[in-house]
Amino acid sequence: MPLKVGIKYCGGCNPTYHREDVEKAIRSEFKNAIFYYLSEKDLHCLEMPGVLVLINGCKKGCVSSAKWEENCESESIRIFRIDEKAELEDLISELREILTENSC
Amino acid sequence: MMNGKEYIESLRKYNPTIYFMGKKIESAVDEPMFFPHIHAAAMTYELAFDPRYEDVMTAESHLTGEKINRFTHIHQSVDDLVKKVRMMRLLGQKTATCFQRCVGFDALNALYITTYNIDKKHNTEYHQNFLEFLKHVQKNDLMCVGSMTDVKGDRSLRPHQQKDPDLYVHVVERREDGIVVRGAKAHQTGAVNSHEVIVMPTRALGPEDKEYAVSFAVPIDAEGLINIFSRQTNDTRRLDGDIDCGNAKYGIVGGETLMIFDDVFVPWERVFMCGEYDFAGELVETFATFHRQNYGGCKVGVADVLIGATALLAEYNGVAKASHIVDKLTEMIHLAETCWCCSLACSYEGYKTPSGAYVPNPMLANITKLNVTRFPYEWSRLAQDIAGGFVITTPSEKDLRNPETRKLIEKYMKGVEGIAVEDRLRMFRLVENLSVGAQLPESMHGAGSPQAQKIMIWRRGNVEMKKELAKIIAGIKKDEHFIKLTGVDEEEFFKKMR
Repeated sequence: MPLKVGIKYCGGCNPTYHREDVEKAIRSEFKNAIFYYLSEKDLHCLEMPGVLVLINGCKKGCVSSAKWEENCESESIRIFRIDEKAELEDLISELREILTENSC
Repeated sequence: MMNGKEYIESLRKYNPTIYFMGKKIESAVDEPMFFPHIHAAAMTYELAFDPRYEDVMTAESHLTGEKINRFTHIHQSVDDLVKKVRMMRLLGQKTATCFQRCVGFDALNALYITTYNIDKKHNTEYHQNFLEFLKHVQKNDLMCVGSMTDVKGDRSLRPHQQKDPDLYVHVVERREDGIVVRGAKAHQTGAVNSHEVIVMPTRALGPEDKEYAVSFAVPIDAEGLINIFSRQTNDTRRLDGDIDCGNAKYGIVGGETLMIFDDVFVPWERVFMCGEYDFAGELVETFATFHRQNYGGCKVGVADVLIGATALLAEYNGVAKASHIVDKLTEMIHLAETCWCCSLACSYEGYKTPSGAYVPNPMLANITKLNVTRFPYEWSRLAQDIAGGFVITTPSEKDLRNPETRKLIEKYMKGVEGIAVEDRLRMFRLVENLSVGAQLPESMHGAGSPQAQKIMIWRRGNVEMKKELAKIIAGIKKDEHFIKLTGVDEEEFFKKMR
């Protein structure tokens, strides 16, 4: 079953790194995954298991994971938040683990 | 919590070693030269009991759930960061000087965050040590000196390269029960009237400087801890009555010492870093962020008093309605409120750290402080411009009290009708106090000199991203949105116009 990755960007008012690099890296690492962009209202429609990646441009983290966790109706959706590029490696290895779990 | 009077009395339980003007001070609380500094710090305690101010002056401890003085609190939200700077402005307004307690407050918050990170990497137990110390501080409502700036010797050399190894505080002995430290810290604000000293490294360190990567807390009267109290501009005026000093109740700036650690023993449970040089830079930066956040609060509170004093002098001099006076007062307000905007902005842009504690936005905190190295000079210049030359040539209080000269002073120092000459003199002295003395170099160097802020600003300025923006606007790099606006790419769009 392909990994489903929902992406939500912060507003990008003054990012401290190139946020799109995160999306590019995930897309290149997980070529078979299905990607889609999310807005908050989409959360209530999500039924299939998958992951949400919240991409913040700085440590302020305007896209708060707590808010999305509250709104997320499906418990099978895993939410990850990234606030700086240094967190990218950890994110990818966690996504790899999920992919392995799903394939088992 | 303690109120102001209880705080002052609590200092009697300590017996710190203090020298000033060639003598040993037996009791800091009873030394007239220290009175204003002690009163200013006491205000941080007293206002916590005033229902009009308790919302910003107190907080709920995240460790115990108890109501505590905010100066011992670890910020748990953006709201806490904002309340911190509101508290700073309030206290600046109430004391018109430095109330000293923010340095220890910032040290507590910086160490909370950094000890957590050290433990995570090095599997140490510093955070637990720190939590026990923090509980002690919160429970007893203690005032801590935040002790960072080493005396540094030759600034071009790193700590281990100095001819005298003691020019940065360092570990000289490791024992089973603790460590022994030696060295000295400069500009120790509020030291003579604090309960505890929290020591941190002063700069980023490398492996050769391992013994300098040390952080700990000791009581102010620890054996081997010596304070030499510094002189300030016009300091002995405080012994000459209550007019000439300008702000006789609360004084000028914080009251600083040269603090010497002459082989001071620190038990392990009070050690928060010992050899983890890779976290020295992080601790310094985190502390600096907290401390630089403050300056658009406290200094603006002081500026509020200066603006008020200057406006009153304009009235007393009979020039309040002149358009250039209104313009200059407006400029003073603009400068002060700009600094306030910076403090609020860095607080609102604050974020949660892995420890759970919140930190202000470091870039904006540095911008705050860099503005405060400049704007107080300008608002002081404007105050002196409006007030006139009597700011520095007013006769003394003793001559005002002398029957032989009082009548002459009252006749020739008169301003507009209805204003007592003594009130006019008091206001000249207040403007002098707030615009001539140690306030200005304190604005320059407190929380780090301007270049320290510029280094941080340059590092975090993300110039590469800005270059990319410029390339896109200049047409050097493709604008992905322009094609969506026009339906054709830039080359094609502009070809028609050539």
